[in-house]
Amino acid sequence: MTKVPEIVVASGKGGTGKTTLSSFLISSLSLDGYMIVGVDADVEAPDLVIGLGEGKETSRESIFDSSIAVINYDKCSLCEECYRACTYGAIKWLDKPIITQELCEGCGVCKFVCPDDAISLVNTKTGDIIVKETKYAKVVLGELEIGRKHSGKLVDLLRDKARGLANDSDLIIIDAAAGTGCPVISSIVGSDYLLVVVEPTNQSLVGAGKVIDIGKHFNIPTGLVVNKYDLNRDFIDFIKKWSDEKGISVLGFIPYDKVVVESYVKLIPLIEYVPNSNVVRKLLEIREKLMNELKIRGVLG
Amino acid sequence: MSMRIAVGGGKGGTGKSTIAVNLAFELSKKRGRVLLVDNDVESPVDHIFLGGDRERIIEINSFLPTINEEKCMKCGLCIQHCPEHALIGLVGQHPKLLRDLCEGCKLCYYVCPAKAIEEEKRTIGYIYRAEYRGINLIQGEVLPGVKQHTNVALRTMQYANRFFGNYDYVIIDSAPGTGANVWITLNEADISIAVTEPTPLGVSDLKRYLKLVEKVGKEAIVVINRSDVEGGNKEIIYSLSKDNYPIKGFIEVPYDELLIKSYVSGKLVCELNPKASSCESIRRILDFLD
Repeated sequence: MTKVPEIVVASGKGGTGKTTLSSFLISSLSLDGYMIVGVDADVEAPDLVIGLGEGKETSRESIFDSSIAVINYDKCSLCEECYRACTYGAIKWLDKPIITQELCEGCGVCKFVCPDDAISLVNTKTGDIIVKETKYAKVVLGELEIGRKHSGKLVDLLRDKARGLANDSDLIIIDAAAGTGCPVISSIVGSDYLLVVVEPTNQSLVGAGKVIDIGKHFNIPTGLVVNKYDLNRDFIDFIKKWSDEKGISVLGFIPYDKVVVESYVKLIPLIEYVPNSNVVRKLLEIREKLMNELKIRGVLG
Repeated sequence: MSMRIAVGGGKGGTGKSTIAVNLAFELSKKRGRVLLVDNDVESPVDHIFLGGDRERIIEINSFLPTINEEKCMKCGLCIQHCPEHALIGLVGQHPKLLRDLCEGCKLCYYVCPAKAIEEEKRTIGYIYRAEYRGINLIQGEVLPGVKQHTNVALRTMQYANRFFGNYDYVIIDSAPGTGANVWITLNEADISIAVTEPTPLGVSDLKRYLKLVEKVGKEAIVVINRSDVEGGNKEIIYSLSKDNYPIKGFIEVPYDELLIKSYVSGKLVCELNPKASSCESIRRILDFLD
């Protein structure tokens, strides 16, 4: 079985248009006959299905693969070894060791160093993995338990799930979370192409630069999309120079248009809501360039 | 006692930083000493609004193992125990470290019976400081490709916490999302400002954020940014009931060309255009902070 190619859309900074681009790719490619599986890898704020006009939940499984430390105070001799050993700041000392669940990685260092055998690791819920059937594609999404770590691990599981569903598919399209940390790294590793969406601002380039560096580190071909470019036209030359220096190509520019917000509110993807609009025309150009890149690189047959 | 305000909201790009920096500016002008903590360590941008200069003052380090091959007995215990599978190899071989996977928990150091694992420090991020028109900024930033963003967020908060007593207001700008790093900022706060946008995406992420606010026993002022943006629908935000969510009140910040202009030039709208409609609305947040 050949591997189904995986495209990941990321940005660093939030709200630059990741979901707009990934939902456009999924809906428009699906309408043109491609079989797509979508992954919403933002397990702290999943939105991709909304961008596809909502969908019906067809499966949900709870994942209990993370552990947290629990202290049996009857056995604890208050030696402070665990408190000193925890590198995540998850153990506070208030007359006795107190575990802060939200900060515990479940690594087991405290359990190992405890001379009293007072600490055990218990399995805890990481979150849910959900499959939703939209009009255009199956979408695998996750809901991290609120306030928890381990979002990166949940993303790994989402991608495994999507690969399992993608047997007959042409593409897997991953909508990454905002940021540049663990869950975003998990979204990018092992992908075949990285699309980075930026706005024409310095604020946006801070995070985008890091995402591009992550892609480089893992040797993933990368393309840049500039969204709402007309809000700051003076910046365009700078972005072109910046992407040249980074050694990545610009796949296109998307103008600001109220129809984007409108289509979200009406729950109708752009390709169906305003098929003849300038925004959709630009998005289709970007899609064509992307598909060409994938063919040139042998990712897509 | 300082008043501590965590700015979050769930969805990215709704205007958390814009609200945080302009609110800091207004508070420092009118109310007293302000500390701004930028705890969006993956993509910190607050300094850009405050003149752009910042000084690196602290290196955040974590543990990274190095294997002393002369002492190593090739027993494989470290490989067996490593929770991130960052140590690989077969029994009978020296373990090999995959740096990218290591999260610095130090378990290998403890389990090694030969004391062959030695401590090497790895820099995972930095803390910066800046000062602009009476606002003091403390900002954390994780290095690209490092997985320990939550650890950097925690260490930044722990550092900032030492100075809270010197200020009347502490504004903490958090990352998007609803994970542990956002929990860290809320846990330090007295109240939250939840910045959202009038779309189904905004409301969906806001709900998860408000659940987190509830979990830590706090309340949030919901700021509907770009409330009258063309195509938007602010009513879906107002549909959230105060019975089900810990909402202290709602404030609308209208779509404002002056705000966009100052944002793209990396400036404070409230400094450039104090009479701008967006700034008038941001000032109304102050009424909730009495």
